[in-house]
Parts: sequence; structure tokens; C-alpha cells
Amino acid sequence: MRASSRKWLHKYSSTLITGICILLFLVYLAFFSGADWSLFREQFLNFEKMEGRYYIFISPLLLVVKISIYSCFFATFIGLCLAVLRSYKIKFFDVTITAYVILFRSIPAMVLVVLVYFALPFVGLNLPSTNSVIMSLSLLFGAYTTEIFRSGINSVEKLQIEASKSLGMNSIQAMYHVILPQAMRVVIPPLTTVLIDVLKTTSIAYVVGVPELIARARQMEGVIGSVTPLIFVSVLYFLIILPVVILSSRLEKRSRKWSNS
Amino acid sequence: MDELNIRDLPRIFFNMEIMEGQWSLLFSGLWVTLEIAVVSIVLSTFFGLLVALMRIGNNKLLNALLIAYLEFCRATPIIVALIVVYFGLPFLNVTFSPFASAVIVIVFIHAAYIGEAFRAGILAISKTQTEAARSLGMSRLQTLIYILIPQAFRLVLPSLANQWTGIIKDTAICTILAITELLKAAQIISTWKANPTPLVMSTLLYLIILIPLTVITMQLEKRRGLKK
Repeated sequence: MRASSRKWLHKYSSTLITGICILLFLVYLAFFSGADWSLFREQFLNFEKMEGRYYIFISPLLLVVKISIYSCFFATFIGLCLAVLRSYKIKFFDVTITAYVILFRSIPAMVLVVLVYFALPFVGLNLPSTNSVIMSLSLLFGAYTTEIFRSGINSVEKLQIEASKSLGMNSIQAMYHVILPQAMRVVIPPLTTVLIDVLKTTSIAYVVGVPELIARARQMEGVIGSVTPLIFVSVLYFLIILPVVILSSRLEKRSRKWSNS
Repeated sequence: MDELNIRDLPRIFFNMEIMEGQWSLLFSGLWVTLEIAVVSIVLSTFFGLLVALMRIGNNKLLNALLIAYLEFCRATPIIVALIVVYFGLPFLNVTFSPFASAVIVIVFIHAAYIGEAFRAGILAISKTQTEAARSLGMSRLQTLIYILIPQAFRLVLPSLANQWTGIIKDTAICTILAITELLKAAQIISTWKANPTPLVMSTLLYLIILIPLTVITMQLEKRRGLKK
């Protein structure tokens, strides 16, 4: 009895100590740190002032979803096309596509969005801000999806291409009927990671004046004199992205298990 | 304006006369960007290692907390966190300088990712190594410092390089703060001169820094892929 309880204590001692530390820290924060918690509640969690204003966030929320869906669609399309083109091993495509990937993997999203929105009008190309964000995000994440699709296509064995050729398929048929369906399985977990990144990066649209969540929150912050809308928006972002994060880590775990067995 | 001649493009986008006398502002912006990047890289790598070390122990409570922290960082856009820290916290009479809030936010978010990378690296090292080191009479700390961390660093290098590139890219987001980093400097000159050349120049400066890093990262990733 005694030995087992000692063992238990040994096993969980670090957990216990951590728990006690956290508890002490919370007690300190709440009572002894001298922080003004009523101020915190009033400024950060003042949902009474937000009442009747939640509808303002509906259209920007839809806008964020729209930008993400469009950008994801275009990025996937770009990635798929370029990866297929690259798989034919033609020198010209090889060089240009690699250059594209390196260029857009290197450029910061913020810089590209600003460049597209503020520089293109000088050559008479006046894109609406939403479209310029969609365009930059598609180009940016197209580079990542190209790499993803390429590794997916590479993961299919060479033998299968030869087999499908010997069945009389041409290279396009082999790509469409044999390689891509198998590549999809490898490709989907990393694609969800791209989806997360796109969702997060849409927030950059704030800089070029797209009326999205942050912009609305900052407006409302000025009106009601409290940061609560900002907190609300960050929770909103969290709630949109978290399901995708969970889905993505599930898929990744499953694919890892699948590849190990 | 409507009749765009292709020969006009260099005059619009690469107009060096516009940049005359403005390079100093642009380069001071570059310096600020590099400062933020270097401080953030050093700190987030340090804290990432710390997070990883806390994760590999058998402490259930700490593990749960750190998983929550990781998921939080994965699901929070950096720009939102930056606005909350820089524009939100002053409402509580907690004020950080733009530089400090940039570093705090970038380190907070990237330390989670780097911690995850380090954890994967440490876990990938065979258990027999730890057992061997322990049987040689090394203490747990010694095992960690002399056996696990050096090997983990090598395994983790590709994802570490990727994160570092990400940190440098994220410094551009700090334009929304009152700090004249590279992109902000370019925007200031560009608005003043009504010409996009400074924006193009700043993009080129970013690319000069980032393209080598991206290429190195891709090489490292490829090498790791071959080893498997």
C-alpha cells in the first residue's frame, strides 16, 4: 500500500507541483498583483456595450470566408496545373515553375498585398481591394500548393505510369485516371494546412482597406470606447480556424499511421 | 494613363531618380526590420526549445496547457494578436513600444511552432541513445544537453529554417504599428513621391534577404526527404 502510494507520488509529483504553481500564480494575479480587474472586464469583456451590434460582423465574416474560398480555389488550381506541367520534365517549364515557387515562397504576404494594391494602379490596373487580396493570396499559396501536388505526384510509383501506358493510355489519361487519384490521398493533409494559412492571412486585407473583421472591430472600438469588439473578433477568428486546425492534425496523424503500416 | 506603353514600365516601376536621397530612409527601415527579425529569431528559438523540453517530460498538466497554447497560436492570425497587444493593452494601462509589441507577438506565436518542431526532433531520436547515456552515468540534464539537443538541432534544421524565414516575413506585418520598418518606409516615400518605385525597391530588398533562405530551406527539405 505504502509502496504503491509512493510510486504514485513519484509519477505525478511534477504534475502536482505544476498545478500548485499555476494555482499560486492565479491567486497572485487575482488578489495580490494589484491589477485592476474591473478595468479589465470593462475594457476587454464589455459585452453589454456590444449588444445589438453583432449583426455588423455578419457581412465582414462572409467576406473573409469568400476571400478564403476564392484564394484556396485559385491556389489549388494554380498548384495542380503547375505540378502537372512540371511532371512532364520539360526544361522550360521546370525552370520557370521553380522560379515561381522560389519567388512566391520568399515574398512576405504583406509586401505582396501592398505592392499589388498600391503599385498596380500606376499602370492603370485598378483592382478593387478585395480582388487584389484574392489575387495576391492565390499567387502566394499557389507556390505552396505546387510543391504539395508535386510531392503527391512523385509519390506515385513510376511503374504505374508505365503500366497505364502499356494499357494504351496517353500521358494525359494516365495523369487523370491513374496518378492524380492516388496523389490526392497524399495531398489532402498538407492542403488543409494551406487552408489554415489562407484563413489566417486573409486578416492582412485590413491593411488595404477591405471592410473585413478587424477593420469593423476597430471602427466599433472607436464608437463604444472599449476593446471588446477586437477581443470578439479574435475569438471569432479562433472559432473559424480551430475546426480546420483540428481536422488538419487528425488527417496528418491518420496519414502518418497509414504510411507507417 | 489609359494608353499604356510597355516602354513606360521601367520609368514607372524602376524610376531611380525618385529614389535619389531616399535610400537612407529605406535602409534605416531595413535596419529596423532586421533588428526585429534577429531579436525575434533568437528569442523564439530559445523559448521554442524551452517549450519542447517541457513537452517531453511526463507532466500531464503542463502538456495539456502547452497543447492548448499551440492550438491557440495555430488559430490566431498574427495581425490580430498584434492589434490586441499594441492597440488593446493600453486600455489597461499596459503600454509597449511598437518594437517590443512586435517582438512579443512574433515570439509568442512562433515559439509554439518551433517548440513543436523541436519536440518532433527530440522524439525522433532513438530511445536507446538516452538509455546509453544514462547507463554511462550521465544525469538527465547532461543527457539532454550533450546527447539529445545537438542531434535534435540537426534533425530540426529544415523546419527551423522554414520558421525563421516565416519570422522575417512576419516582420512586414509590423507596418500596422507606428514603427518605420522597411515596408512602412517604402510606403511613406511612395505616397510622398506618388510613384511605386520605392515599393518595388523594398520588395527587392526583402527578396534579396529571403530568396537565399528559401533556397537553403528547400535544399534542406530535399535532403531530409532523401534520407527517409
